[in-house]
Amino acid sequence: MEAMFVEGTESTPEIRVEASGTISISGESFPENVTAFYQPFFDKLAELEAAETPLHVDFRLIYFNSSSVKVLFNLFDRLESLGANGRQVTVNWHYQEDDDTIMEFGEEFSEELEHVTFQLLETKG
Amino acid sequence: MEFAKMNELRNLANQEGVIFFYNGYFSQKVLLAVGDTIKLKFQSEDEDRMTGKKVFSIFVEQVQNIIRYSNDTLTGDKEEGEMRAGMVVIGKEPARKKYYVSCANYVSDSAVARLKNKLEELQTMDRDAIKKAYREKMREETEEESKGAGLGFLEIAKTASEPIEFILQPEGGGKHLFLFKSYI
Repeated sequence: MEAMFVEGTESTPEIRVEASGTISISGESFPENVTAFYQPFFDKLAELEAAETPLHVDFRLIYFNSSSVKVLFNLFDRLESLGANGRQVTVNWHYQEDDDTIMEFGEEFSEELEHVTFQLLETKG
Repeated sequence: MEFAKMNELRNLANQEGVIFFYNGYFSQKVLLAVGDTIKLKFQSEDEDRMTGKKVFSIFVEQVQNIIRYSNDTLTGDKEEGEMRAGMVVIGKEPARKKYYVSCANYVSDSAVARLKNKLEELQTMDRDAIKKAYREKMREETEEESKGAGLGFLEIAKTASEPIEFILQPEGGGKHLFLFKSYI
């Protein structure tokens, strides 16, 4: 599998997918067409799903709109399915100190997870 | 516009604590440009960082609603690059000392009943009920009429510090004017 790198913009996150199974999503997410923006990422995720490496996902999102919430929810859903099928999946959800909104989303999404190791991590400053 | 009228408009905006006012066609590009300005404005203010983020969040939801649903369009339905007309006002209300984000746009008569029901229901909800509805909506399949996640108004209600306010007034010609306000 080839790695994937999508450069971040003011309204779309930076996305990295490594063949080793490490995914990182960081920045802001409020594209005009959220489905079109995330499609290549979900295609890439399908390749990783078919592989056998453990998965590690790092979220460092600062802001996302309500359309992106649904996409993130679907992503968590897929990670949980993988975990339930015996894949080792770990998720780190980073939020900035004082940012209750992003923290609460992390808590909310993690409620979907039973077979994934989830960590909520505060970034200072 | 005559200078006297321009002055009136300016004075009114000052009285209402207006920080930003836009009336015309919105696109994702306008949203990005104005969004940047709002971020800078709040960074330079002596405000709690999260207040600025909340204003920004509600602004994005309202503008994306206009871009997707306003009845007055320059471009028609498109996957990307849609431009639709509306008005957005961001300000700090002098009396309440609270920030507000308001918008106005035309909606088709056929969309009125659904919008009205949805928003009236939101107005009856307290914080916990809003969070609960949000959680449920997040898990649902997206509604057919919705171009986003159908979570936009719930997101605004969840972020706002007071119940949302709105009116829908008939304008003739198959459309209503939709006016909407939320306090941060």
